[in-house]
Amino acid sequence: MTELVWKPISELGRLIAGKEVSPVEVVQAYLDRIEALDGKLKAFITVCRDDALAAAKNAETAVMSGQAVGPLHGVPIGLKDLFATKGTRTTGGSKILADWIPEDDATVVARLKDAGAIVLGKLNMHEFAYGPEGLNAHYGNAWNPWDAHTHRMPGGSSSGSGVAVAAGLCAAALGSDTGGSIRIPAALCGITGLKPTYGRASRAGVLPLAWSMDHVGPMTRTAADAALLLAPMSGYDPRDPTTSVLPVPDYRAALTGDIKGLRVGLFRPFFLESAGMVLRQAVEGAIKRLEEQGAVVEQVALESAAHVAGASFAIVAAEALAYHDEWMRTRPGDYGADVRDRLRLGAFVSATQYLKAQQARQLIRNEVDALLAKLDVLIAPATPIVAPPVGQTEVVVEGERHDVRSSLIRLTRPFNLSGHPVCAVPCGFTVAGLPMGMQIVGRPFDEATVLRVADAYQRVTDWHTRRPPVGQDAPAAPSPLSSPPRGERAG
Amino acid sequence: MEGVNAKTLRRMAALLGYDWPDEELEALLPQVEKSLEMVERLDALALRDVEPALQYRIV
Repeated sequence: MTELVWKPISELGRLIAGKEVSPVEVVQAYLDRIEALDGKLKAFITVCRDDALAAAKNAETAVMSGQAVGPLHGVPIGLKDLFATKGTRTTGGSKILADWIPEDDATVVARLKDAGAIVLGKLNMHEFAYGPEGLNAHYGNAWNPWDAHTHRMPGGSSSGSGVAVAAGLCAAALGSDTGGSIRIPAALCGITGLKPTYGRASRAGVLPLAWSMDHVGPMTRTAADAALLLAPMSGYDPRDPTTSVLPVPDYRAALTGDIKGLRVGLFRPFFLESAGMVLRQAVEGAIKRLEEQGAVVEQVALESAAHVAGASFAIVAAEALAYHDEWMRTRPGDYGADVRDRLRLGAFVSATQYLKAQQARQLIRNEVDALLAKLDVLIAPATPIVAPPVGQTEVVVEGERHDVRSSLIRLTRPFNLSGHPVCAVPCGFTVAGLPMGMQIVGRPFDEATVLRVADAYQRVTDWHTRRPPVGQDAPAAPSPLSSPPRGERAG
Repeated sequence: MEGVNAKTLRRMAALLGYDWPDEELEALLPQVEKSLEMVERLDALALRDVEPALQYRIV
């Protein structure tokens, strides 16, 4: 199979703009790969073959006629199946919306199309985005491509997005993140996932899980690619009153590779201390790489972390049930059992408890803001565990048993409450070959610094260039980048 | 959390207009108890002077 599917977007865009590669050739390469692999991976719910090829032909015509094209022109992307797509069914991973065909695109979808991106299809997800495992009773469980033999969780809820990007089924994808649903699959699938600041990218036309906690963002193989997607996605949208009027900076220009003197806080209590030893070593190894590049690191703590679970539960459960209220009265049997149970929990959260949770949220946000008043970014593991096998409900971390679901969302949801921008990047692999991820948290609307740090880290490591065993058809070209010394590898 | 049992859940669900099967509410009880315990821990925070993270903007 063609190497085209592994090209970074920056290079792919350049090849297309330079007429070295046709968008039709690129789209066909991805469609061929989807055809070959998605029977097993189940990353897609709907493949838009004809529409994608037609869009590619139009993109090719634009290039050949000399029109000015941007860096996303002709670049094939996938969309988590909760982004509304005009004329293409949008299921939310549910039976309830199995036949819903929206009349309009979500704002971010329209903006990416305007920038030249081509939609390959709609990606699998946990039903209505309500689950970090990334499983789906209606459309099948997506397969984490890093284990060819054991069916492992891809992480969710943006499971198909994580799998498709990791396995080379699309150049990039969009995900949504209410408790970690971009960052968890990014970590478990070994890719880069960016949850922007709350209000940076429009949620209009995106099926909600919890309005006040939902974020949308890009899932890519590199931070540089995330910067390319974030630019058109960002900015005020009259269809989403929570979007900010703050100007959108040039994210690509921020990727200088220079982090000398950058002040970094490493979350140790609650975050690093709850991760397994190999994961801790991976994040500590990553911290060393940042220090070698000139960053100044200190240990920090989030005192309010113990209240994150309660606040997050009360807000998400109440808002989710409010959205699903009618269907939970009329069609409860059409939900998967796990999602139905989670939605029911919202009925037992009082208005007072909901408001207390929103008060606690302010305290958590204030504490993160205070840390970022003296530091540029904060670092934490993305998850305390690696991808568990499908069906596993408990994990043992350092001798203690934990619920898989709670473990998966433990380290990501603090920043859904706080609303700060976070980029998850791969930071190592276990001996079994499973990826591990770390989070880089920044100040509100300072995605530029978050991406600069992520990009600087990726310039001196090669975790993000590795290819999973499922669909492995050609070895990755040797990286020109220096890899971490052997002793620093986590696996 | 004191006082929560399947009967309580049934009553609460009924008050909200949900007709959910008793056996499914019974099975949900442990999750409800665990979740509400987490929420009740928020009472330990000094929240009296904290405005909730909600706002209404007319323009």
